[in-house]
Amino acid sequence: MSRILRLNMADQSYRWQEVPPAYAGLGGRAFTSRLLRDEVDPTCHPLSEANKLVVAPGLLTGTPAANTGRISVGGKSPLTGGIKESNSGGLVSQKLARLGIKAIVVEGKPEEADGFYLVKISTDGVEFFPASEYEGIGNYRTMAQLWKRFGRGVGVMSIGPAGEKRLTAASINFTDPHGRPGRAAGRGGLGALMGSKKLKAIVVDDKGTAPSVPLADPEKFKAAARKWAKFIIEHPVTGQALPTFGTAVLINIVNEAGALPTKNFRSGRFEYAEDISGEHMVELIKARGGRTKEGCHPGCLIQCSQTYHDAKGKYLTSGFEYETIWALGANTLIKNLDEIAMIDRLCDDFGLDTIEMGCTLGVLMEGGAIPWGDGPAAIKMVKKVAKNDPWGLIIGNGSVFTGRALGVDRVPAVKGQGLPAYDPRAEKGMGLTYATSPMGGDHTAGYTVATNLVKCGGDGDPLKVLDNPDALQCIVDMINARYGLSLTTGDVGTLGRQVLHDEISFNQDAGFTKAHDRLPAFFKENLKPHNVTWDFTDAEIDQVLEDL
Amino acid sequence: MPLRLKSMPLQIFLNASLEVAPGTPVSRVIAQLGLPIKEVTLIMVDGRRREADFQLQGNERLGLFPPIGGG
Repeated sequence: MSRILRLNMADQSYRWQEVPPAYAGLGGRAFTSRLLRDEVDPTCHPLSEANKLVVAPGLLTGTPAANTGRISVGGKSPLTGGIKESNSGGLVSQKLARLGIKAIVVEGKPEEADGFYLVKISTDGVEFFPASEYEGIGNYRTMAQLWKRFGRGVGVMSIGPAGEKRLTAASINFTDPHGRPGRAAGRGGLGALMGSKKLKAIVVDDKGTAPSVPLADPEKFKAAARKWAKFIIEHPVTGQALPTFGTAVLINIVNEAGALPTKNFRSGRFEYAEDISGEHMVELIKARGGRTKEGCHPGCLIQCSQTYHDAKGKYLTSGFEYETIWALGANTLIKNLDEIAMIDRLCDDFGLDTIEMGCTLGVLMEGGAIPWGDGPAAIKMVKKVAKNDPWGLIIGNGSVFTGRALGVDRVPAVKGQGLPAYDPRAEKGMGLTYATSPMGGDHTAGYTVATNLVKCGGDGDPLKVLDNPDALQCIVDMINARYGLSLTTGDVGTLGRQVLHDEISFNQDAGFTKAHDRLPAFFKENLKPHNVTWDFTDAEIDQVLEDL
Repeated sequence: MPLRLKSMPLQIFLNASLEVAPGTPVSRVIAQLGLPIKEVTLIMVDGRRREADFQLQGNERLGLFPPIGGG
């Protein structure tokens, strides 16, 4: 049976807890949000000892099923002040599941004078180590040193200088299969929460565990998992477009649709979109000897990650995503992909959310601190985050904080979180998601781009996964065969609603009202090329969550 | 009338102008370009999603895409 591991950072102790029945059927975001709802005071300061950092694999993680190795990280967000779940690929999730760990809950915090700690989890148990030797060091070197110390292939989640300084744009980075910090739970400043706990890194070694978690009905599981893999491989998006061009395949089409936010959300098309497109990225990768296809975790069939080399053929960055390239590119008018890749690398190294940094650089340019489109100036600015420089403290706290520092009123954020890569005027479904998601400006909660722009997932049919009416049933079949349950697809829908209830009620108790479910006023401006505005009434926006 | 063409299926990438008679359906342009019609799943005319039978009048910006997704 799997257990919950509780780490108490106040005295560097730990304890194991049996999974309470109410949590047995929860994984990932459902688990992190329920635990926060049950155990964290929504009014607490996010950096105080009352907050908790929750790390949870998914319900199917650790099984042989394809694409089940992502991880959810939750806490009260230092950036938004509301509940947060951010998820990532990497090596940690599957290793935790194989070790029989349903979740890690990081609690308490040491005295301020104490240095940082690192926690190692393996079949031998749980160990705390002082981590002073890694303090102030970026994620690249931290992970390389931890692989050297604890063995190649161990899972690492760590924070860089931004998290250590408790800056609210800080991410938590996860080792990819090559030991690089190219994967991140980026959104919502959870790196600052980890930093407040004085936890530099968690190392997870699953040596000595079985290759799969126990399965209640192995035969049924195998049959469903085989079907699931077939769905992924045969769908043209997951089988062709994403492996060929990565998620940046979206740059050209979102630009064509007039929804690619350009120059701090001033227009919907970027003149140089092709220069930063997935197609161009792949040309450069091929010419320079990088890799166009990589999984963000073992067992991923989609392989939408990559290794990006600089002009001299030297490794520069990995996990170079659509959102990142838009945020640091079209949004800032930086059109040189190498400069964008360098900022992405710095973000991974310092532990910064790339979407938040893109919005922040846009605000910096808006305020005249650096010129529009000036890649070298942007790189210089981001480098200040790792130094003792007030500019670094300002931009490391994200777009809203930077807007305040510079007296800028055009800040693309909802509930304090910078907006992702779709203009809400030309992709109105995403606008409703930005406005109403309990996460703040977020693109993952109601990803209407799929149905509205690219006709993937059906034309608005929420019950189809990968355009296949059987795929959702297939996922439920795998969950049932893993745990010996008899859930229906309806039960899964109910669970989804329950997660939103937990999150929205947490936010309400934290002080959020309908007035926070609004986009910034400047979205009333006309957006080219479609000449559209954000024209929903407040009452219409409130309807989104009414029948929940 | 000139038609500005912007097409980027998986292996083809071209930016060009084509002359079409007013009323030409997008499907005919796709066929003229020699693109496999089944693989062109997304058609954008002036940034709006259209079906293959949509009739072009000229001076439009046309985008033809294979299945795409992500984010």
